[in-house]
Amino acid sequence: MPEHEFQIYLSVLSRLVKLDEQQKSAIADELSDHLEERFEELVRSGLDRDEAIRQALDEFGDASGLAVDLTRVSQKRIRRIIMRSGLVTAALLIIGFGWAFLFPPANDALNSEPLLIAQDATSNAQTPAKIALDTDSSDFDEPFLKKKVVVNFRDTPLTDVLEYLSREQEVPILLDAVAVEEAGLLVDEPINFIVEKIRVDQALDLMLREFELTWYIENGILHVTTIEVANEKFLNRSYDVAPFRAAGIAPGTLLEIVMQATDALWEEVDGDGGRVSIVGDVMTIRQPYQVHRGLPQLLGAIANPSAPGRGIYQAEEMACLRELEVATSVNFTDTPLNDVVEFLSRQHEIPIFLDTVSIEEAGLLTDEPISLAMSGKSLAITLRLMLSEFELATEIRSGELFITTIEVANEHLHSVVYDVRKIQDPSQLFEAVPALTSGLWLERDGWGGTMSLTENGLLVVRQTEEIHREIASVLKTFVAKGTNQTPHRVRRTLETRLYRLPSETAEDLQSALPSTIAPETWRGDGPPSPDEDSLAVGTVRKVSVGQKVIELARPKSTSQPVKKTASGNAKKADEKPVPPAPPETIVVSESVLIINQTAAIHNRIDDFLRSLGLDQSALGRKTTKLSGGMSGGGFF
Amino acid sequence: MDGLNPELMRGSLELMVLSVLSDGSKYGYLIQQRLKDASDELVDLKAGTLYPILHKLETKKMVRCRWDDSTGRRRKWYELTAAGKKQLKVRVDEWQAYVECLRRVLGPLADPSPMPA
Repeated sequence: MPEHEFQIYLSVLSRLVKLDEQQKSAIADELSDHLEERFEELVRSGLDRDEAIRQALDEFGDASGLAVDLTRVSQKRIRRIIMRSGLVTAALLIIGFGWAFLFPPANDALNSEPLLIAQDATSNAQTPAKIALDTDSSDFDEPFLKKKVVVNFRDTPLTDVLEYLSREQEVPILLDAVAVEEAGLLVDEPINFIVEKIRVDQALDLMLREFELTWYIENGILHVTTIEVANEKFLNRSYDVAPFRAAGIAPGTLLEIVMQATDALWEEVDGDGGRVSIVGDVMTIRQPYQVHRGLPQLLGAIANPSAPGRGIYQAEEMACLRELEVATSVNFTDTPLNDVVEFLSRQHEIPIFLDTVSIEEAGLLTDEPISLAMSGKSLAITLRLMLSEFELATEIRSGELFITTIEVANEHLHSVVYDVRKIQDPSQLFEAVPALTSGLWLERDGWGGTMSLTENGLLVVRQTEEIHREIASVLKTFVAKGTNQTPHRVRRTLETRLYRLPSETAEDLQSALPSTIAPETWRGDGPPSPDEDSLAVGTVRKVSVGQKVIELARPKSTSQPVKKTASGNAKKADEKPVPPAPPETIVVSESVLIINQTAAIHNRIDDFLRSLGLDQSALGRKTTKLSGGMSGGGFF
Repeated sequence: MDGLNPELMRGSLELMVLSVLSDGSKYGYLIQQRLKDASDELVDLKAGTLYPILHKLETKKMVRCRWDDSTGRRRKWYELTAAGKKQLKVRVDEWQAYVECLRRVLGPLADPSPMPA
């Protein structure tokens, strides 16, 4: 009896089958009977023992595919119980299978990632500083959003899902039936969503996304509506600027990062959208709920000067990233893609999600046959080999590893904060990173990623996941090799300077500067010249920063300067003692000009602006040079 | 023609398995062999395909199974349930209607008479 060889095969299979012990042993008995009978027949037909064993196993096919199939057959049994129960009782039955709590909010896990939560830059406080200031911020920090749940909805009407969620999480939920029906959807669209262990907010994201619905919380009420309606629902959220100032970050840099780091639209830049302004120590951002969600994490990462430079992934996303590097072993023969995903998800114990909507829109099926036998390679490499044939790619979204089309993955940009303090002249990265990676860049290609450098040595990059991987490896070499190894391809060092000006002035200068000062050094909006010796490198952009109280631009001055534009009523202040007087302020619409140029041209621009009589304080704030020893060292 | 188009076959596998069981209970290996013999070796189901189908039919209560230890090995026998017999009848009728329909649609294309020169 060649039991040994067959037992190895069957024990591998057993390990992969996710059923109870009794079911597993029944399957093993049945398959063992089959293998042995086949073996005996092959021996009778004249094969030698080894050959017969090999052939019997070959004919059986790969264990992983079979394990997936056998597991799935039994799971369907559970699902059917829910389906048969009908619409009326569905909600009640789901309680048994549905949102069971595994453990309370994983706050500790989150806090253990130093980059994830902002640290107070001025003190060594152990607890994370709260950067968001507003009183209604609890709408963003509802504890139930971070609870982990098991979700098992099968053809459950949306209304029932929400009703269940509302009862279970004790949160009032309002479904915007009007908007939903205007979008051609039904309030009882069937929800199919089965995931083990997922945060409530992420479950909401993923369940609603398929119908182009989204959610927001206002005054403690969770609203579910269309993306279109939610995008018009602007909410204010304020942040304390002091930690950023303490970290050496100029307000202009902060605004640049806020405006570049999300998908958000901004009124002045895009013609429609939110606004951001800094008044004193308070930065107020006016954007829809979903834009606000990601910001505290990003801002926290920037304010924290001891950030190790890994990005701003959430704990779940870090788990996915780590798991991608773990070696895996697969043997699929024409196994449907969705089964492959289920198998890998179970094997690696991370949620892997098929972006069915995008995949089907691309004309592919979710059960495209996958054939691949490989072992010892990382999950990332294995997936890439498997998916590239179908023009599919992976990305991390909402804490899940997503499999989607390359096209969609390339459209989905997210921000990562890199620590580049060890690089001597990080401003060189503005040319080096686009040159050494394959991504598209807004500045160069008219669409794509953006980069900002903070005064505390952090590079904030918005790019696709794939390009972030390239950037991380490029930066690693730079950091490892230190200062001497900056790429020789960088010929001219560009500097970004920000000029905060009244909007009208900024607009005039935006068009006047390139034609007035060294016209040959500006490259306009087009892509950069392929000629590396080309002088045309400079760019000028304008972003609105909302309304601004002018006096705050000069916090140092003790007496209130009288603005020329405020001439009429300002003189009245003379009759009162100066200190208790309410600050005489005027509010003007302000913009920031972001100018990328070489240092020499920057100096000429500054001279030019001074000759126009512009306020000294509005002039060039360097954002890409580091203060202190690091930039000084560049001369050696 | 070299074997059957697996795409075409996929939809009929359950039907074929049910039909093999119509003349009495069998165990997995025997079902596999019967399908192979009955189809002149054109239908050679891998175990990896066959067992999930059998388990699926079992959960759908189309077949029932019993264990038999009398041969020295634990062997799982499958037989049609009343629902399975009914299902087989329905599926055979469906299949006949489908073949009829396809024949009409394809018309002369599916006719074995020689093509005009």
